[in-house]
Amino acid sequence: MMTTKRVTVEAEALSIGYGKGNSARCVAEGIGFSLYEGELVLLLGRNGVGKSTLLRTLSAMQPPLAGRVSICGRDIARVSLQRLSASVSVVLTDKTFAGGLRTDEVVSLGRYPFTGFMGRLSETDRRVVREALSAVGMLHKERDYFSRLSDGERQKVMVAKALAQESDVIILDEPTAFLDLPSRLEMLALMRRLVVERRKTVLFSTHDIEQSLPYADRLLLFSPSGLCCRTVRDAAESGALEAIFDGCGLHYDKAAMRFSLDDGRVRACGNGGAD
Amino acid sequence: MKPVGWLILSLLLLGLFAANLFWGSVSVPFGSVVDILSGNGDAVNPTWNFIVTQSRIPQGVTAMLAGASLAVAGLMLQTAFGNPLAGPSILGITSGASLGVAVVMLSAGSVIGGTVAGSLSAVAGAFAGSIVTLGIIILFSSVLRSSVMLLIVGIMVGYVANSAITLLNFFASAQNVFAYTLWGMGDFSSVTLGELPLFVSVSAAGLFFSFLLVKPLNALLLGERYAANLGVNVRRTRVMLLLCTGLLTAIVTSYCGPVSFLGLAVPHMARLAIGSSNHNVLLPVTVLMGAATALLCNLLCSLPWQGGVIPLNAVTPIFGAPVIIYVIVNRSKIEYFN
Repeated sequence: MMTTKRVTVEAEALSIGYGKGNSARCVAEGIGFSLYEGELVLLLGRNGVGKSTLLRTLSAMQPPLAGRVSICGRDIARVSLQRLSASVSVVLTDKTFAGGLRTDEVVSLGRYPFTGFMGRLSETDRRVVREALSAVGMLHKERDYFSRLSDGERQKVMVAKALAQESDVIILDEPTAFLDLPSRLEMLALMRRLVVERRKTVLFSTHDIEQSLPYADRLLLFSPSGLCCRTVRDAAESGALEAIFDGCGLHYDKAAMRFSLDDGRVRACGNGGAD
Repeated sequence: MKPVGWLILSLLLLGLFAANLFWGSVSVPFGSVVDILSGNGDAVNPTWNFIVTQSRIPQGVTAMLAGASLAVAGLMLQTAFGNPLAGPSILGITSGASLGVAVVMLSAGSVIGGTVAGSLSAVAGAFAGSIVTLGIIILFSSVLRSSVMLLIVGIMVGYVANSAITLLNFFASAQNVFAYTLWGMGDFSSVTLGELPLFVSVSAAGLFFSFLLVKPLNALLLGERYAANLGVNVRRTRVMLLLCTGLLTAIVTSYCGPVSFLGLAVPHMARLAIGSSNHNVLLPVTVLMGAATALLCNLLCSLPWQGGVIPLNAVTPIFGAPVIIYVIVNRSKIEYFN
């Protein structure tokens, strides 16, 4: 069944990290996986393992130390910035300075790769912007100032911006962080809808594992020993899900779909043998 | 913005420009100014004719373009650095210009005697000083990824320039220190009719250049990482923004001295007036408001003190400081701050 789907993201022998030459600091190496259209993939791992670095490398915000990333069959190191922005869009938790823009103006920025020199919107651009706003349920606030929106609403608007880019792949860095429970669930349902209805590839990193798992198709499990790609069921049954918290004494209960401490006691949680 | 808004702003600008031609430190009768402007200058007192054509017209044009240039430079820096309190003076470019002028005025002995050659060499010194500092900043911008760090480097470069200026002042003659101090007070009257074409073409080129940067400026409102994902070449855009603001600041500071507050405050006035950070509208409004504010300040330098002129930098803070204080106090209610 998987084989009939189109590959959208492909990482081959990828090393990620910072710097160049001798001063390069490698965060992880030998990464390889393929993501397909119409699937929602969670990127899970502990703080500092390199999730953000991986997402930045996949969205071409930083170059890989070695290896290759292809989006929709094209090596991202070789495509123009403009083409890239129309094939992969990002939603970050960065602070913006866009408070003085209206909601629809923020979403219009998603049309950046498609508009001309002065950024004037065509009829098509306007239609895409309205559609994107309505897809995330924010059309009723299109003329509100971005700064007047709640955190959850802002996050939805940034997803609408990503939709306006009409990219096959949407990468989100902790999109549910800082959101209250209703907004968090809404956000997850929204991403599920994008995958089902629009055949997008959605990849996002999160620490809200228990809440997010029911919405996911596959998991990218990132631990200091490397990165592996599993379906949710396989990850839960094989123990791979627990393995990302290796040494913390966590146990994943498949029936309850919850993590718990092995023996109910808090242990020294090893980041390299603190005890 | 609605058409009526543009109309009001344009009329205001036109009115202020006219006011600058009709009023000044020397009283020229209304009818005579009309005569001079309509080409009948020969029929009126030649002194009045000289004042209007050789002083008031170039001064009005200079004020207009200088105000617009500084305001646009301030706007671009505020967006590029994501810092609403950035301004042309903060990147060290103004300090670099001051250092250039200080070298010419303070170390070259008696070059400055109010002669054209003297003032032109000061202009050249200021321009060279600002371009050199600009070069240093651009050099650092290729090493430093973070804009805030770059901003701090700019401030530090400014401090170093100021320390050199202090030293030059210390060893200079009292007369030269006085001349330098006067330059530092700001003045729209130092562009002569003969130099006007140069001033106009450089500042107009800078303003034109800034309009070409409207699209990436809007993307930068989302922050550099979002902008990069939208297809903005962030590094190249930053260099272009620095070049453009550097050029605008350099040409204005060279002729008019380090004019305070216009670059810092006018972008805020423009945002508050139109209620938007969208550069498609904000940039042209900033141009018009910068020009209008500078004309108003120039008028106030001479208006209440018939027979005398007070320095420009004595007037600009009276407009600028309250705007900044208002913005800071009300920042939680102001959309573009959040």
